[in-house]
Amino acid sequence: MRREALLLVLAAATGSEARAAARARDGGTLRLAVLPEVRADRWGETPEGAVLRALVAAPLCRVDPSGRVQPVLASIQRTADGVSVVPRPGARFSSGAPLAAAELAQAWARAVERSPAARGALGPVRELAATLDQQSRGKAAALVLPLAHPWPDLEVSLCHPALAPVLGDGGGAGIGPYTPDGAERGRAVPAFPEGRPHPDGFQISALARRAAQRALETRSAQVLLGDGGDPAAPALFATYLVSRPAARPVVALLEPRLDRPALVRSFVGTPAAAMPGLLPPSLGGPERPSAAAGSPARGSGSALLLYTADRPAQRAVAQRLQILLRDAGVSLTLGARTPEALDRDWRAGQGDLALRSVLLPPAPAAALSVVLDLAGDPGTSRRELAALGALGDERDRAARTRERALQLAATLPVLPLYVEGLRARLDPALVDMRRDAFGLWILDDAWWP
Amino acid sequence: MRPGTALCAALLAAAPVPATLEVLSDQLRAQVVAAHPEPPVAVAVDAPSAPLAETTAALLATRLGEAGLPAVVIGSGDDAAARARSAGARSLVRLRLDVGAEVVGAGELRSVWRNFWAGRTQPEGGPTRVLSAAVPVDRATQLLASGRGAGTGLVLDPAPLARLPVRTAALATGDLDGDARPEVAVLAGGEVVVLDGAGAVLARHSLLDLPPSAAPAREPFGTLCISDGRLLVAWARAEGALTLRLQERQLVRGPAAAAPTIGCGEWAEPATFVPGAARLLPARGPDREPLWGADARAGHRLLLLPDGTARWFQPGSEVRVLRDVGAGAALVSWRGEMRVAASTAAAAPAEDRLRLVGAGPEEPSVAVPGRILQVCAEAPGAVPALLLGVWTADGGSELRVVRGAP
Repeated sequence: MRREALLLVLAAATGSEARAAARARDGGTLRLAVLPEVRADRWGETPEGAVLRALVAAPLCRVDPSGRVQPVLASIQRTADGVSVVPRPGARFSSGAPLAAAELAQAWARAVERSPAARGALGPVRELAATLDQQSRGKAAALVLPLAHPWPDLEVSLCHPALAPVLGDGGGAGIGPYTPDGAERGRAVPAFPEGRPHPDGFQISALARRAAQRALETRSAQVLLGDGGDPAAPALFATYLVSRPAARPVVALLEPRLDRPALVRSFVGTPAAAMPGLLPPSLGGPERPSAAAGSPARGSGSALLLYTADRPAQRAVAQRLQILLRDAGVSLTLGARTPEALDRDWRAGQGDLALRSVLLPPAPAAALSVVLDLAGDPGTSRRELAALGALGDERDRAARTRERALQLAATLPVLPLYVEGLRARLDPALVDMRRDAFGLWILDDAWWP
Repeated sequence: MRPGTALCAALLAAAPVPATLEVLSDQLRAQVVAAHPEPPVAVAVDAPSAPLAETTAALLATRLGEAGLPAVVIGSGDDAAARARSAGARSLVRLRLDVGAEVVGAGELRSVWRNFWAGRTQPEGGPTRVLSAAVPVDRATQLLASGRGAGTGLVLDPAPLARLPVRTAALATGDLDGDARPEVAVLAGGEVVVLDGAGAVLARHSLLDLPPSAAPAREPFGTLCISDGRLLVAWARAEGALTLRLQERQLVRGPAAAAPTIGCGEWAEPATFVPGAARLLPARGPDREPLWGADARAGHRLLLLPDGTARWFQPGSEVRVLRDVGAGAALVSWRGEMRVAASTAAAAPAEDRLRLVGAGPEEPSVAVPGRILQVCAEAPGAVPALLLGVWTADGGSELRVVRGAP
C-alpha cells in the first residue's frame, strides 16, 4: 500500500521532471559540421583542426584559462635536470596498447619532423633527437626529458595539441575520448582516463560554409567548425612571413606597403587581429607598430613564396603580398604546399619566403620559443631561451620575453602579420562547453538536456 | 567559542533575556558544573521552536563559560554526539524543553570522548548525569516558544570561501587535525585539497596514481567523509578508495577504505559507483537504482533520483517525495530539526536555488549563482550554515556558504 502510494506520487511528479538534468545525460550523437579546410587539416594545426582532432587524439594535458596545467593522458613531474612525463594508468591507444615512453618518444620524433610548434615546445630539451631516439627503443613507463637550461614553461608547452601522442603517420590513431569508426564517425571510449564522453558517438559532415551555417541554424549540427567565433577569446594562431637571408631586401620592400589591419579586414576575417609584434596582443605583444615604416621604395627581381594551399586565408594573403610586391617591382611566384610539405621543403632550402601559421602556446616565453624555431637559427634560440628560462618568476619572465620580442623583431627573419582565434559556433543548448588557455573549445564534456 | 555562539552571546548581552530562561539556565549550569565534566562542553537543545532552542543553548553555554567551563552550541538531533566530537567537545549536554505552565528542561550530560584504544566499543554507554529543571513560564518565553520573531530565511555569503579552477566532485567538513575546528575537504581535479575555515589551502594530495577505474565517470564525482579525524576518499575515476590523515600539513595515506558510502561516520551505508556515469548505487535496501547522490543521517535517508525527485525516508514516517531536487542535496540538522537542503533539478542553470525542506510548510530558499552540485551540512564558522560546491560557467567552481538569517 505504502509503495503504491509512493508510485502514485512519483507518477504525478514525473511530468514536470521530464527535463530534470542537474547531472549530465549520457547518450545521443554529437553532430559536427566542418568546412572543407577544417576537414583537410588532418594534423590539427589550425585551432579548428585541433578541436576536431582532440576528439580522437587528446593532448597530454590541458592548460585552463587561469594557466593551471591539468593532466589528461600524462602528468608531468619535475626532476633534478628536467622533467619526467608519466602516462596516466588507463591511457591506451585504440589498439589497446598502453601509452608508454617508447610510443611517446616515437610520436614526438615524428611531430618535430613536421611541426614548428612541436619543435618550439621541445626546443629546451637537451639533445632532443638523441633523447627521443634512445627512449623510443626502451621499455620505460615514463619519458625523461633532460633540459639544456631551466625552462619553467615546459609544462604549458607539452600541452600543445601538436604533441598529442599518435601511432604511425596517419594522424588518427591517438588516444581520445572517442575512437574512430570510419572517416566521419567516432564511438565513445568507456575507459578513457577522463571518463567516457556523454554522447555515445560523434558524426562529422564536411559542408560548404552556407550549408554548414544552415545545419547549425536548423540544429542538424550542434558544432560548426570554420565559421564564426568570439573576438574576445584568446587568439593564438599566428601567421608570420619567414624569409631567407637573400630575401631580406624583398621583405624590406614589402614592409612599408603592408597594412596589417586592412589585410585582416579584407583577406583574413574575424576573429583575427593585426600582429605588428612577434608576440600576439593576447600574450602582451604590441597592438600597433612601434615606429612608422619607411617610405615605399622600388626594387626588382623575383622570389618564391611558399604557402599552405588548404588554408583560404593564407592563399588570399599570399595573393595580396604578390600584388604589393609587384607594385614594388618584384615578381613573386606563389608555391602552394600541404602543411607537411611546406615544412619539409622550407627546411630543405626551397623557397625564398614562406607564410607560416602556428598555434602559439599560451605563455609568452613558450610562444617565443616557437617563433625562434621559425627563424631557424638554433644558436639564437638557445641563447635567448636560456636567458629567459633563468627567470624563475612568471611575471618577470613574461615581461622580459615581451622586451626581447620587441628587440628581436628587428633582427629575426620573421615578419609578424596577423593572429587568428578559433572559428566555431555552437548550439546554445550544449552544456558544459569550455575553452582552454589556447582558446580552443573542449568538446569532451559536451552534453545536452 | 565558535563565532555563531559568540554572536548569540553578544545578542543576549544587548537584549534582555526572559527571566524564566535566566533562572532555568542558572539551575542547569549548577547541575552541570557539579558533575565536573571534561571541557569543552557542547550544548544541544531541542525545543518547541528554533528561537527558543537557540536562545536557551546560547544562554547556557555563556553561563558555563562564566563558570570556567568552555562551551559550544551545536544543533540538536540524534547525531549530536558525533557533531560534538567534530566540534572538538569532550562532553555533551542534551536538553529538551517543554513549555506549558512551566518551562521544563530535562536531559543528560555525557562524555563524548572516544578512546583511541576503544576500538568498536561505543563510548556513549550512558549518561554521566541526568539534568532537569522547571521554572514558571513568562510571556517572553511563550513568545519565543511560538517561533515568531525570528528569521527563517537563508543568506548567501557575498564572497566565496574559495575558488577552484576545476569542478568539485565531493565536499566534506570535519576536524582533521585535532584542533577542534572543522576543516573543509574538497575532491576536485584528481586531487584532494584540505582548506581551513577561512578557505586557505592546508594540504593537497593527488589521486592520479590510483589504479584507474575500468569505466571512469566523465563528470567530477566521488564521495568524501570525515570521521574520527580520518578522511575517506572515493573517486569515480579510480578503483577502490583510500583513507587520508592530515599530519604536519600533509595528507598521509592510510589503509584502503570501504567506500564509497551514502552518509558518513556511524550512519554510513555502503554503495558503489555506476561504471562510466556520475551515479551512486546503494549496496543494500529495496531501492537499488542509480542515483545522482544520497545521504543518510540520524535514521533519515535521502535518495536523489535522476528524474529530479528525491525520496526522503524519515524514521517512523511515510516516505516523502520531493520534487525538483537536483544533485546538490543533503540531510541537514537545522535549528534542531532534520531538513533537506536541496538545489533545483534544472539543466545547467546560470543561477541555482537552494531551499530548505522541513516538516512545515515554510521552505526558506536563497538564489546562488552557478550550479549547486554539493551541499555539506556543517560549514566552518557560524552555526547554522551550509557549505555548497557550486560549478561556475567558466569550468571552475566555488565553495559558497549559506547561513540562516539571524
